[in-house]
Amino acid sequence: MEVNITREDIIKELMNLYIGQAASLMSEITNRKIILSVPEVKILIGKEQVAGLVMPECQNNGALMVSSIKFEKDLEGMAKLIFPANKIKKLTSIVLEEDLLEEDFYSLKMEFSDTDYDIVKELGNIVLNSVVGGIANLIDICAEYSMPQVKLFENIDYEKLIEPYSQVLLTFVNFNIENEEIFGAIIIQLAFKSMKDLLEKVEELRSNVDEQDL
Amino acid sequence: MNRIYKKALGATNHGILIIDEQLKIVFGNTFMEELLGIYPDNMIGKSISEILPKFKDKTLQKILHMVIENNQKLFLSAAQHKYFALPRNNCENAIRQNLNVVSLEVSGRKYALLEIHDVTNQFLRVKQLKSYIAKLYELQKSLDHNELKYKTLFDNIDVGFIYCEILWDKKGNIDDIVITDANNPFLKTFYKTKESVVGESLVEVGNALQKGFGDRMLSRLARGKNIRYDDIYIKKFDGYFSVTGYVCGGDGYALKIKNITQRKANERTIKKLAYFDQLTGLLSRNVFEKVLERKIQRVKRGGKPFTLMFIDIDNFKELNDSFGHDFGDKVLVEIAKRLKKTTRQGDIVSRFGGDEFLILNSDVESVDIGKKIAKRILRQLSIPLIIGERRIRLKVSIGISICPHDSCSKTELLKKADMAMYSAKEVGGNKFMFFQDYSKSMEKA
Repeated sequence: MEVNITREDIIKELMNLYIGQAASLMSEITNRKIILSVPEVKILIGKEQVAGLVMPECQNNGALMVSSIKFEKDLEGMAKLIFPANKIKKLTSIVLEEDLLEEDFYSLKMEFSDTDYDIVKELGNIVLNSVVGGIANLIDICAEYSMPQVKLFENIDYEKLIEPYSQVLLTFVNFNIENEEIFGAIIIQLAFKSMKDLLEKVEELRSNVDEQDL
Repeated sequence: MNRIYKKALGATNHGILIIDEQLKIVFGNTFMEELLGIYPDNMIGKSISEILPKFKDKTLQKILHMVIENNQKLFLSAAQHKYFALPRNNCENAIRQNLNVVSLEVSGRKYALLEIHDVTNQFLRVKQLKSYIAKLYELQKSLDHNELKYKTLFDNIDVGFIYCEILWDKKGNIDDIVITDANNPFLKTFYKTKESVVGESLVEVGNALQKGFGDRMLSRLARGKNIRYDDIYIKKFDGYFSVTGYVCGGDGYALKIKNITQRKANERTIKKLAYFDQLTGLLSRNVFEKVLERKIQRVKRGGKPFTLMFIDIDNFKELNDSFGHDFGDKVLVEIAKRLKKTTRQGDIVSRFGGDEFLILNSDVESVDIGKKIAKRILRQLSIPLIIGERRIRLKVSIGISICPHDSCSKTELLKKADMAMYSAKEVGGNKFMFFQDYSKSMEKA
């Protein structure tokens, strides 16, 4: 029986593995049960393909909070973890064990403090380090990371988040923290060579899987 | 050169430690010395967990190893970890520090640079901000509660209210007044629904209630005057209303519309009680005396003479005693009707009290006219009355004084008419007598 495994399937599995490691570390740090899963990945070439993207939970509220890191040397690019801004309060209150009511989320949801930014920065840092580190290890090259940055974007504008002419690996991520679902996304922009290396490696893995199936 | 680097790292206002792959300290800056009270040279070679007990935590050790091995950079927040280097004499709950961990590779050996940033002030600021926001939210909730309270009051008070927004044109003139809310009593009184009123022009709604009413309100506001109508009759709803406007901050305007129909009816009843005799419906004595006073003044200013008739029913007491007060009352009512019927237009009839009546006959230019009226009254009242199954024939005595001939004083005129009436009664009743005749007869006597 022929199993049609796409490169997206392989990347999805890899991403699940990397963010699974991040989730494990985050669970240890926060003393919370954190489960991360990857419902979907997309490989996008060029800015045009990104323009039409809509994050499922951002349709009615455009604000986004983005934690990002740069990496260079052999693996070159930028990684961003994106959360709908209206979910940030829920995320931070769970992490900080703050007892906020639903109505408090409503009233406070767009009032972000340094504490909120720092938590997103730390969580994003761990997830992105894990994913980028995983990709670097996979293609057996070295990456140098920057310290994470967090920014709030008022409107959904994926084009602003992505450098022109870059190759993009888009991964939707489901954060399950203490049974609260928070939907986010990871955008990994890779330089042309880095994406080529990654896709070649993925193709190699896919061939291996196909051969095993045969 | 090493000394320069050491000095530079020491001069920074955050703690710096460099650790190797075994997590042993290879450098600590002067900030760390000040913070922990340990001389930097005494830190070197010791495990990080010995100097900073926080790092006894296996997860933190794992993170440090991970950063060093994978050549990463990591940020750990005070929000989640509180602190990393606990200062001497400091309560751990009071201190907040962020930690940056950066991997280094020097001469093939791997290290981690730890930067400890004190963010206690920032944390306290956030805490205060959160407390401020929480208070603000409490206030908002309280305001919402108050709004609900006033909304409940607004909808349940028995006075109609509508809120409006004044719209201005470019020249600063009122362009329109749009209704933004209306309470239940208003809607109920004028058989409207909220949907049919909100968003509509006050001018149009006003004009629909009564022709021109909306235009009049607009005109008052345009002239900078407040809307105030104490007593307006709206034919369509057969009722009286008072309408008062209030400026409600900015361009807001409220109108209070009170149905005063019942109040007006009550006022009419009270007026009637004061002005009219309850039994006969004739003018009360008080009102009659005021009219009499005015008539005297008119005569004094050259007006035409008038006569004052004092009428008393002969033997009314016996009638009352024989047939009861109810019967007597019915007789009085019937007499009042006949007196009204007999007098001319402009003459004033009043019940003076008991079985006494007063008539003011205006413009009596000669005694003859007075006589004619008196005769007519006697004739009218001599017609038998049928009350129930009884038929009775009444007799009355009438005394007449003339103004200005007899006096130009109210008291004197009343007194003289009364005296003439008694004189008529003394000579057998069923007669009239002018005071001037009575006076002459007295003079002769």
